Amino acid sequence: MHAHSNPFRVEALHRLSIRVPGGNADQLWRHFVACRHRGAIVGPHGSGKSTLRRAIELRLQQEGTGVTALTLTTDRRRPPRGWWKTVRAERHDVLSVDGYDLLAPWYRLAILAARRGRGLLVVTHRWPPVPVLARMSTTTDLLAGLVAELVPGGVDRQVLDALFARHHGNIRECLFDLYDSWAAEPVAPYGVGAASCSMRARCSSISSRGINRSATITSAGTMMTSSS
Amino acid sequence: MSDVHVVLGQTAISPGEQIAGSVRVDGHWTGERELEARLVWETAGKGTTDTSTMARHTLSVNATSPSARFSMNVPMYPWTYNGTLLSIGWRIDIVDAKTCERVATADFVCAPCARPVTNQIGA
Repeated sequence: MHAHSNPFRVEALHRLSIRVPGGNADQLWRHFVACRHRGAIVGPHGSGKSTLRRAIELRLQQEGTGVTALTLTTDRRRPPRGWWKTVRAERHDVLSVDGYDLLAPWYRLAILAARRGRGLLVVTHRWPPVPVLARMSTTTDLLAGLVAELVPGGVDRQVLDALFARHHGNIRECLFDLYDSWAAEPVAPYGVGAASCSMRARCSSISSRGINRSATITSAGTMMTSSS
Repeated sequence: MSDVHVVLGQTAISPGEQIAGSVRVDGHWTGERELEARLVWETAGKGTTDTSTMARHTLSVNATSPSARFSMNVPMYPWTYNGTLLSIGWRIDIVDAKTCERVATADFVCAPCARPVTNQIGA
Protein backbone atom coordinates (compact mmCIF):
# COMPACT_ATOMS: atom_id res chain seq x y z
CA MET A 1 0.00 0.00 0.00
CA HIS A 2 1.16 3.51 -0.77
CA ALA A 3 2.27 5.68 2.11
CA HIS A 4 -0.40 8.33 1.56
CA SER A 5 -3.13 5.66 1.92
CA ASN A 6 -1.61 4.01 4.98
CA PRO A 7 -3.88 4.72 7.96
CA PHE A 8 -0.83 4.63 10.26
CA ARG A 9 1.13 7.37 8.45
CA VAL A 10 2.62 9.97 10.77
CA GLU A 11 0.30 12.73 9.59
CA ALA A 12 -2.71 10.61 10.64
CA LEU A 13 -1.09 9.80 13.99
CA HIS A 14 -0.68 13.52 14.67
CA ARG A 15 -4.41 14.00 14.18
CA LEU A 16 -5.30 11.49 16.90
CA SER A 17 -7.16 12.95 19.85
CA ILE A 18 -5.05 13.64 22.92
CA ARG A 19 -5.51 11.23 25.83
CA VAL A 20 -4.66 12.61 29.25
CA PRO A 21 -4.49 10.05 32.05
CA GLY A 22 -7.06 10.76 34.79
CA GLY A 23 -8.49 13.85 33.17
CA ASN A 24 -8.79 15.79 29.98
CA ALA A 25 -6.70 18.27 28.02
CA ASP A 26 -8.51 21.30 29.47
CA GLN A 27 -7.88 20.19 33.06
CA LEU A 28 -4.24 19.64 32.25
CA TRP A 29 -4.01 23.06 30.64
CA ARG A 30 -5.56 24.75 33.70
CA HIS A 31 -3.09 22.94 35.93
CA PHE A 32 -0.22 24.09 33.72
CA VAL A 33 -1.40 27.71 33.83
CA ALA A 34 -1.94 27.52 37.62
CA CYS A 35 1.68 26.34 37.94
CA ARG A 36 2.77 29.45 35.98
CA HIS A 37 3.64 27.44 32.89
CA ARG A 38 5.88 25.05 34.75
CA GLY A 39 5.30 21.31 34.57
CA ALA A 40 6.63 17.91 33.63
CA ILE A 41 5.22 15.10 31.54
CA VAL A 42 6.54 11.80 32.79
CA GLY A 43 6.21 8.32 31.35
CA PRO A 44 7.82 5.40 29.57
CA HIS A 45 8.89 5.25 25.91
CA GLY A 46 6.07 5.50 23.39
CA SER A 47 3.42 6.56 25.88
CA GLY A 48 2.47 9.84 24.18
CA LYS A 49 4.61 12.29 26.16
CA SER A 50 5.93 14.12 23.12
CA THR A 51 2.47 14.19 21.54
CA LEU A 52 1.10 15.84 24.66
CA ARG A 53 4.04 18.23 24.68
CA ARG A 54 3.30 19.23 21.07
CA ALA A 55 -0.33 19.89 21.98
CA ILE A 56 0.70 22.13 24.89
CA GLU A 57 3.21 24.00 22.72
CA LEU A 58 0.53 24.58 20.10
CA ARG A 59 -1.87 25.92 22.72
CA LEU A 60 0.84 28.23 24.08
CA GLN A 61 1.52 29.57 20.60
CA GLN A 62 -2.20 30.05 19.93
CA GLU A 63 -2.42 32.13 23.10
CA GLY A 64 0.55 34.26 22.03
CA THR A 65 3.13 32.78 24.38
CA GLY A 66 6.60 32.25 22.95
CA VAL A 67 8.02 28.74 23.08
CA THR A 68 11.60 27.62 22.67
CA ALA A 69 11.78 23.90 22.06
CA LEU A 70 14.71 21.61 22.61
CA THR A 71 14.57 17.93 21.73
CA LEU A 72 17.25 15.58 23.00
CA THR A 73 17.66 12.04 21.77
CA THR A 74 19.97 9.23 22.74
CA ASP A 75 22.08 10.25 19.71
CA ARG A 76 22.06 13.92 20.65
CA ARG A 77 22.30 14.42 24.37
CA ARG A 78 23.85 17.88 24.30
CA PRO A 79 22.06 21.09 23.39
CA PRO A 80 23.21 22.72 20.13
CA ARG A 81 25.90 25.38 20.25
CA GLY A 82 24.59 28.81 21.15
CA TRP A 83 21.48 27.38 22.72
CA TRP A 84 22.48 28.53 26.19
CA LYS A 85 21.86 32.19 25.32
CA THR A 86 18.39 31.23 24.15
CA VAL A 87 17.59 29.49 27.43
CA ARG A 88 18.45 32.60 29.38
CA ALA A 89 16.86 35.10 27.01
CA GLU A 90 14.06 37.03 28.69
CA ARG A 91 11.80 37.16 25.64
CA HIS A 92 11.11 33.42 25.61
CA ASP A 93 8.19 32.72 27.86
CA VAL A 94 8.34 28.92 27.99
CA LEU A 95 11.29 26.64 27.47
CA SER A 96 10.18 23.18 26.38
CA VAL A 97 12.70 20.36 26.84
CA ASP A 98 11.99 16.88 25.49
CA GLY A 99 14.40 14.26 26.83
CA TYR A 100 15.37 16.19 29.97
CA ASP A 101 16.72 13.05 31.66
CA LEU A 102 19.16 12.57 28.77
CA LEU A 103 20.98 15.77 29.64
CA ALA A 104 24.08 15.63 31.80
CA PRO A 105 23.47 16.68 35.44
CA TRP A 106 25.30 19.97 34.88
CA TYR A 107 22.93 20.95 32.05
CA ARG A 108 19.88 19.99 34.11
CA LEU A 109 20.97 22.15 37.04
CA ALA A 110 21.88 25.02 34.73
CA ILE A 111 18.46 24.92 33.07
CA LEU A 112 16.69 24.93 36.44
CA ALA A 113 18.76 27.89 37.60
CA ALA A 114 18.19 29.83 34.36
CA ARG A 115 14.46 29.14 34.33
CA ARG A 116 13.74 29.80 38.00
CA GLY A 117 10.28 31.31 38.22
CA ARG A 118 9.89 31.21 34.45
CA GLY A 119 8.06 28.90 32.07
CA LEU A 120 9.52 25.41 31.80
CA LEU A 121 7.88 22.38 30.23
CA VAL A 122 9.82 19.16 30.65
CA VAL A 123 9.31 15.75 29.04
CA THR A 124 11.20 13.07 30.89
CA HIS A 125 11.22 9.41 31.83
CA ARG A 126 12.30 10.20 35.39
CA TRP A 127 13.53 12.94 37.73
CA PRO A 128 10.82 15.54 37.03
CA PRO A 129 12.29 18.85 38.26
CA VAL A 130 8.95 20.69 38.25
CA PRO A 131 5.38 19.70 39.25
CA VAL A 132 4.14 16.66 37.32
CA LEU A 133 1.40 17.64 34.88
CA ALA A 134 0.71 14.14 33.57
CA ARG A 135 2.09 10.73 34.35
CA MET A 136 1.62 8.78 31.13
CA SER A 137 1.04 5.06 30.99
CA THR A 138 0.00 2.63 28.29
CA THR A 139 -2.55 -0.16 28.13
CA THR A 140 -3.89 -2.37 25.38
CA ASP A 141 -7.19 -0.48 25.75
CA LEU A 142 -5.37 2.73 24.89
CA LEU A 143 -3.77 1.10 21.86
CA ALA A 144 -7.13 -0.32 20.76
CA GLY A 145 -8.75 3.10 21.12
CA LEU A 146 -6.09 4.80 19.01
CA VAL A 147 -6.22 2.10 16.33
CA ALA A 148 -10.01 2.34 16.20
CA GLU A 149 -9.63 6.05 15.43
CA LEU A 150 -7.33 5.25 12.53
CA VAL A 151 -8.97 2.15 11.08
CA PRO A 152 -12.76 1.97 10.93
CA GLY A 153 -13.73 -1.26 12.67
CA GLY A 154 -10.39 -1.45 14.44
CA VAL A 155 -7.94 -4.34 14.50
CA ASP A 156 -8.46 -7.69 16.18
CA ARG A 157 -7.75 -7.42 19.89
CA GLN A 158 -5.49 -10.48 19.93
CA VAL A 159 -3.24 -8.93 17.32
CA LEU A 160 -3.04 -5.74 19.38
CA ASP A 161 -2.34 -7.69 22.58
CA ALA A 162 0.50 -9.50 20.82
CA LEU A 163 1.93 -6.25 19.48
CA PHE A 164 1.65 -4.56 22.85
CA ALA A 165 3.48 -7.41 24.57
CA ARG A 166 6.15 -7.56 21.89
CA HIS A 167 6.93 -3.86 22.18
CA HIS A 168 6.72 -3.85 25.98
CA GLY A 169 3.86 -1.35 25.99
CA ASN A 170 5.54 1.10 23.60
CA ILE A 171 2.54 2.32 21.63
CA ARG A 172 4.63 4.29 19.14
CA GLU A 173 6.43 1.10 18.13
CA CYS A 174 3.11 -0.76 17.92
CA LEU A 175 1.78 1.88 15.51
CA PHE A 176 4.97 1.74 13.42
CA ASP A 177 4.61 -2.03 13.28
CA LEU A 178 1.03 -1.67 12.08
CA TYR A 179 2.26 0.81 9.45
CA ASP A 180 4.63 -1.85 8.15
CA SER A 181 1.87 -4.47 8.10
CA TRP A 182 -0.32 -2.15 6.02
CA ALA A 183 2.61 -1.11 3.80
CA ALA A 184 3.15 -4.76 2.87
CA GLU A 185 -0.23 -4.75 1.13
CA PRO A 186 -0.53 -4.96 -2.66
CA VAL A 187 -0.38 -1.63 -4.43
CA ALA A 188 -3.66 0.20 -4.56
CA PRO A 189 -4.50 2.32 -7.59
CA TYR A 190 -3.56 5.98 -7.17
CA GLY A 191 -6.21 7.84 -5.26
CA VAL A 192 -7.88 4.72 -3.95
CA GLY A 193 -7.97 4.72 -0.18
CA ALA A 194 -7.13 1.90 2.16
CA ALA A 195 -10.70 1.13 3.06
CA SER A 196 -11.95 0.84 -0.49
CA CYS A 197 -9.51 -1.63 -1.97
CA SER A 198 -9.38 -5.32 -1.40
CA MET A 199 -6.40 -6.30 0.69
CA ARG A 200 -4.90 -9.34 2.28
CA ALA A 201 -2.02 -9.31 4.68
CA ARG A 202 -0.24 -11.81 6.77
CA CYS A 203 1.31 -10.56 9.95
CA SER A 204 4.35 -12.73 9.53
CA SER A 205 6.32 -10.58 11.94
CA ILE A 206 3.83 -11.43 14.66
CA SER A 207 3.50 -15.11 13.90
CA SER A 208 7.26 -15.49 13.63
CA ARG A 209 7.47 -14.71 17.29
CA GLY A 210 5.45 -17.76 18.23
CA ILE A 211 1.97 -16.37 18.21
CA ASN A 212 1.27 -18.39 15.09
CA ARG A 213 -1.65 -16.39 13.85
CA SER A 214 -2.53 -15.23 10.41
CA ALA A 215 -4.28 -11.97 9.90
CA THR A 216 -6.51 -10.98 7.03
CA ILE A 217 -7.49 -7.43 6.34
CA THR A 218 -10.95 -7.21 4.91
CA SER A 219 -12.21 -4.66 2.42
CA ALA A 220 -13.51 -2.62 5.32
CA GLY A 221 -9.99 -2.33 6.64
CA THR A 222 -10.65 -4.58 9.64
CA MET A 223 -8.01 -7.06 10.60
CA MET A 224 -9.38 -10.49 11.48
CA THR A 225 -7.25 -13.25 12.88
CA SER A 226 -7.39 -16.98 12.99
CA SER A 227 -5.23 -18.96 15.38
CA SER A 228 -3.78 -22.26 14.41
CA MET B 1 -22.42 30.59 5.46
CA SER B 2 -20.39 29.85 2.34
CA ASP B 3 -18.68 26.90 0.71
CA VAL B 4 -15.47 27.24 -1.24
CA HIS B 5 -14.86 24.92 -4.18
CA VAL B 6 -11.71 24.58 -6.23
CA VAL B 7 -11.63 22.97 -9.67
CA LEU B 8 -8.38 22.26 -11.52
CA GLY B 9 -8.06 22.41 -15.27
CA GLN B 10 -5.91 19.26 -15.23
CA THR B 11 -5.47 16.63 -12.55
CA ALA B 12 -2.14 15.45 -13.97
CA ILE B 13 0.65 17.54 -15.48
CA SER B 14 4.30 17.14 -16.40
CA PRO B 15 6.99 18.88 -14.32
CA GLY B 16 7.58 22.49 -15.34
CA GLU B 17 4.08 22.95 -16.74
CA GLN B 18 1.45 25.33 -15.54
CA ILE B 19 -1.44 24.31 -13.31
CA ALA B 20 -4.60 26.35 -13.72
CA GLY B 21 -7.95 26.26 -12.01
CA SER B 22 -10.79 28.24 -10.57
CA VAL B 23 -12.27 28.94 -7.17
CA ARG B 24 -15.96 29.48 -6.54
CA VAL B 25 -17.61 30.58 -3.32
CA ASP B 26 -21.18 29.31 -3.00
CA GLY B 27 -23.88 30.16 -0.49
CA HIS B 28 -25.26 33.32 1.04
CA TRP B 29 -22.60 35.82 1.89
CA THR B 30 -21.87 39.51 1.44
CA GLY B 31 -18.87 41.77 1.08
CA GLU B 32 -15.50 40.86 -0.28
CA ARG B 33 -13.44 37.80 0.50
CA GLU B 34 -9.70 37.48 0.15
CA LEU B 35 -8.43 34.01 -0.65
CA GLU B 36 -5.04 32.65 -1.52
CA ALA B 37 -4.29 29.72 -3.79
CA ARG B 38 -1.15 27.90 -2.68
CA LEU B 39 0.84 25.41 -4.69
CA VAL B 40 2.00 22.84 -2.14
CA TRP B 41 3.85 19.55 -2.08
CA GLU B 42 3.81 17.31 0.97
CA THR B 43 5.28 14.02 2.04
CA ALA B 44 3.33 11.31 3.82
CA GLY B 45 4.53 8.10 5.39
CA LYS B 46 6.24 6.59 8.36
CA GLY B 47 8.58 9.51 9.01
CA THR B 48 8.09 13.16 9.78
CA THR B 49 5.90 15.01 7.30
CA ASP B 50 7.71 17.52 5.10
CA THR B 51 5.81 20.22 3.28
CA SER B 52 6.63 23.23 1.14
CA THR B 53 4.62 26.01 -0.49
CA MET B 54 6.11 26.67 -3.93
CA ALA B 55 3.85 29.49 -5.17
CA ARG B 56 0.98 31.70 -4.03
CA HIS B 57 -1.74 33.51 -5.92
CA THR B 58 -4.01 36.04 -4.23
CA LEU B 59 -7.67 35.88 -5.23
CA SER B 60 -10.42 38.35 -4.51
CA VAL B 61 -14.07 37.36 -4.77
CA ASN B 62 -17.33 39.03 -3.86
CA ALA B 63 -21.03 38.18 -3.92
CA THR B 64 -21.53 39.51 -7.46
CA SER B 65 -18.40 37.84 -8.78
CA PRO B 66 -18.05 34.72 -6.64
CA SER B 67 -15.43 32.94 -8.72
CA ALA B 68 -11.83 33.64 -9.68
CA ARG B 69 -9.20 31.95 -11.79
CA PHE B 70 -5.58 31.23 -10.99
CA SER B 71 -2.57 29.68 -12.66
CA MET B 72 0.86 28.84 -11.27
CA ASN B 73 4.04 27.35 -12.66
CA VAL B 74 4.87 23.98 -11.18
CA PRO B 75 8.62 23.43 -10.63
CA MET B 76 10.55 20.53 -12.13
CA TYR B 77 10.87 18.72 -8.79
CA PRO B 78 9.75 16.90 -6.73
CA TRP B 79 7.64 14.50 -8.74
CA THR B 80 4.54 12.83 -7.40
CA TYR B 81 5.78 9.62 -5.89
CA ASN B 82 3.91 6.70 -4.40
CA GLY B 83 6.12 4.48 -2.27
CA THR B 84 5.35 2.30 0.69
CA LEU B 85 7.55 4.18 3.15
CA LEU B 86 7.08 7.59 1.59
CA SER B 87 4.68 9.34 -0.75
CA ILE B 88 5.03 12.81 -2.24
CA GLY B 89 1.87 14.54 -3.30
CA TRP B 90 1.07 17.89 -4.95
CA ARG B 91 -2.04 19.90 -4.27
CA ILE B 92 -3.61 23.32 -4.52
CA ASP B 93 -4.74 24.69 -1.19
CA ILE B 94 -7.23 27.53 -1.01
CA VAL B 95 -6.59 29.48 2.18
CA ASP B 96 -8.69 32.22 3.73
CA ALA B 97 -6.30 35.20 3.78
CA LYS B 98 -7.82 36.54 7.02
CA THR B 99 -7.83 33.41 9.13
CA CYS B 100 -5.07 31.48 7.31
CA GLU B 101 -7.44 28.52 7.47
CA ARG B 102 -7.48 26.03 4.59
CA VAL B 103 -10.96 26.12 3.10
CA ALA B 104 -10.56 23.89 0.04
CA THR B 105 -7.99 21.65 -1.52
CA ALA B 106 -7.46 19.72 -4.75
CA ASP B 107 -4.79 17.10 -5.43
CA PHE B 108 -2.99 16.69 -8.72
CA VAL B 109 -0.18 14.61 -10.14
CA CYS B 110 3.10 16.20 -11.21
CA ALA B 111 5.33 13.65 -12.91
CA PRO B 112 6.66 12.72 -16.35
CA CYS B 113 3.97 11.05 -18.46
CA ALA B 114 1.51 12.55 -15.94
CA ARG B 115 1.63 9.34 -13.89
CA PRO B 116 2.92 9.07 -10.32
CA VAL B 117 6.32 7.47 -9.96
CA THR B 118 6.15 4.26 -7.93
CA ASN B 119 8.61 1.75 -6.59
CA GLN B 120 6.66 -1.13 -8.13
CA ILE B 121 7.99 -2.68 -11.30
CA GLY B 122 5.37 -2.43 -14.01
CA ALA B 123 3.06 -0.26 -11.92
